[in-house]
Amino acid sequence: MSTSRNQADPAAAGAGSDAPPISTDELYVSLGGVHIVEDVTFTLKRGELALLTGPNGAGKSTLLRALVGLLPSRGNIDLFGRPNGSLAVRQRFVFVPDEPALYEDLTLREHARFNALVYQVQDADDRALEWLARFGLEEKLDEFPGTHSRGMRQKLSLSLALGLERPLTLLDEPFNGLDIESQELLADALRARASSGGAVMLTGHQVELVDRLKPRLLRLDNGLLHG
Amino acid sequence: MSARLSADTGGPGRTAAVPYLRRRTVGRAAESYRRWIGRAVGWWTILYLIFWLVVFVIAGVETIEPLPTFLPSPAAVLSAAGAVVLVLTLIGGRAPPLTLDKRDLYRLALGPQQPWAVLRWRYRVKQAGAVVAALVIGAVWSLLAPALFGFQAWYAAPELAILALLLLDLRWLRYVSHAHHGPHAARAAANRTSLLVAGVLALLMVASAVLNFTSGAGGAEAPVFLPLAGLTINSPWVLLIPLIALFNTQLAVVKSLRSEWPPRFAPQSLVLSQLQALRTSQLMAVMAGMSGGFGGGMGLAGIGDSGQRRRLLDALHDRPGATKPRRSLPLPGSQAPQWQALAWRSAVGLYRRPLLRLGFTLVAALLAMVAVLAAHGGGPLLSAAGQDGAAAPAAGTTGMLGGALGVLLAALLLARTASGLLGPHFDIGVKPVDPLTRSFGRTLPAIGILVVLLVPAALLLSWLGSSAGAAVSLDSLLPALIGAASLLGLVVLSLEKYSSWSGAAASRIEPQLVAAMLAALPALLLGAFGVGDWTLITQFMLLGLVAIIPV
Repeated sequence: MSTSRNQADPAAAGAGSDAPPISTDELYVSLGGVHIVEDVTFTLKRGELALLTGPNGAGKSTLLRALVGLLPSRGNIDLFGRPNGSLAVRQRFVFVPDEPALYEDLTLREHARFNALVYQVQDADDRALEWLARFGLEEKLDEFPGTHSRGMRQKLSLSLALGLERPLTLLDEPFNGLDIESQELLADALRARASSGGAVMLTGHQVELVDRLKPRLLRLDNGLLHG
Repeated sequence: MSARLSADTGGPGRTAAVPYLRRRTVGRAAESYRRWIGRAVGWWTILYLIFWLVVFVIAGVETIEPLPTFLPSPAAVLSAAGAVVLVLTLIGGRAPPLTLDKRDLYRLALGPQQPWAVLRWRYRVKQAGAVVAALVIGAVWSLLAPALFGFQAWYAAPELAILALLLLDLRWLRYVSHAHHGPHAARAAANRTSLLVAGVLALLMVASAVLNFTSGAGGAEAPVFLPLAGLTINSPWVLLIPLIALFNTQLAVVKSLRSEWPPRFAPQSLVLSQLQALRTSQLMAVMAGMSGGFGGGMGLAGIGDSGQRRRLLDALHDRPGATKPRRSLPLPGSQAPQWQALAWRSAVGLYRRPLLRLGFTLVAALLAMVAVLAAHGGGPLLSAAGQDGAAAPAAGTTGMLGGALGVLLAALLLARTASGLLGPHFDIGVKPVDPLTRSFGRTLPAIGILVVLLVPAALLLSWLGSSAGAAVSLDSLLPALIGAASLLGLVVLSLEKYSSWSGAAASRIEPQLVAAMLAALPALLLGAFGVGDWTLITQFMLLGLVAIIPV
């Protein structure tokens, strides 16, 4: 069993240190015989922050899930130059789904420690707790998330991901449910993540945050990627 | 229609909206029910059943013969029981005895409606149910009392019906009279005074019971004015005090809902709606074969998560467990390996169960280990050597009680128990977790608990054997324990791996059957080929093989 600790330095996670965080080639994703994503070829480089936009049902979440290996796809997906399912690659990215996937019987503090140990990232729990404090949840650390609002649960989910500081961060609609202050805080955090060499890809409709995020805009329409 | 809806039919906050809604919805629901029963069962069938039910009841009553010696009067016992019920009602009641559903809560309770107008229908339905149950119990008592006790009690049914209504009122009044701070304190205090009558009655009943018991007159009659006196005294006067008390409480109930809802009524109604939904999903899960196993395992997506139900109940009763854990295990250190985190996750899920459920799980696990020992090593452990002088056989199929079938049944029982010890499902998803690490971490607490339970299980089995007259061969204890340990490891690991690989919750029967069959395979095959002595070593080899399968 794997007990080796993955160092805080992202580059130490193994293969393909020069390879781009995301590289797809003629990617197709079909659900129920219908192409949701068609012939998508793009590369996301280090230090890039990409905002994937598009109308409802355009396939943004589907594309993100396919990228991390949660949906079967046709074509080529490489994360850091490797197939997305390998253990070494999974240690280098973190995915935040649109609905916070939390354990109802673990407190916020326990979530932070458990998450850090699962990813074997030193101090990730302390950083997650710091993010929770910045989001205004320092009084709730020993409470279950089940009694919290949608926004508070989203803040926990985001804090866990931000605390990990992975080389690649993928977020599906991360601004949903957040108050204005937290939206700005998150936008700054993602920008800073990209500035420090990490790659970030997110979906969303928050055009008002474009100035703050300064993203590379990718538009998905009817399964086709533009931009 | 809008004119009717807004028409003021009474005091402030009393509009025609609620009666309008009830007429429509209740009428339509009754009509749908009538049609559905008519189609599904048939009204003639129901009439036929009712007819025969009446015939059977009459025939049953006619066959009742008085006892040769009547039983002593139960007056004192009834007084004591009644007092206990009253006192429990007066000291409890943090949850309302009835609530609104979500639609009524959002559409009516938040509107400018008088609370009693909104709640009245549900209150009456609840009262009707209580009255029917009380009348049936009272009627049965009236029919049996002459034969059993030698007295008549024809007022038992109406008295019990009145008391059932009284009890419902008291539960409501107790609920609305809990001390509150701020603006609700005065209202709560006013509601508390309406409980005085019940308090006095409870005291009198306690006094009556104590006097009867201490004077040695346990069978004496209760005073006619006390509640439940109608069960032993055949007089219409038994109804007087309960009726006066009911009149008082009914007025108090309506008064308590004249202008405002109780402060926590709305959130508690919402919680009870969630609990109802949880119960429904659990029922559907059971119907779909996803029962919780003996240990109450947790299914996928929280189905069967006893902790969630517990947290909702805590929220309902305003207890601290709703928002924060009642019990915690120390967190693993920040340098801990992955397997330790996963083991902690499983252990803490188990540890935070309600104590009763936790105890039940452990007892079930102990019994499962007894079964495993009996099946796998019970032959040598409970050797017949002491009885016929023969040497104890070695641990193998020759020492198995029930042979391979016994092993299969014991393994199945163990798998059902272990499903409750594995803790919550852990989906690797996109997390960087190796399946071997996951299996090791998740199964460690379960295997640890089961191994520890092997010792008391062996003692229990030996004691059972001694009680049955079999001699206990301690020389064979070690091989039996090793055999049982290999079987439990095989069952628990197979269950975890198959459940994780297939996505079927460990609490489902399908993964449990797979694990049990795999574990019993060596005993079955090697026994069939006449090399049963190889069972133990084969089990260990299979255990090693299952352990390294990367799923």
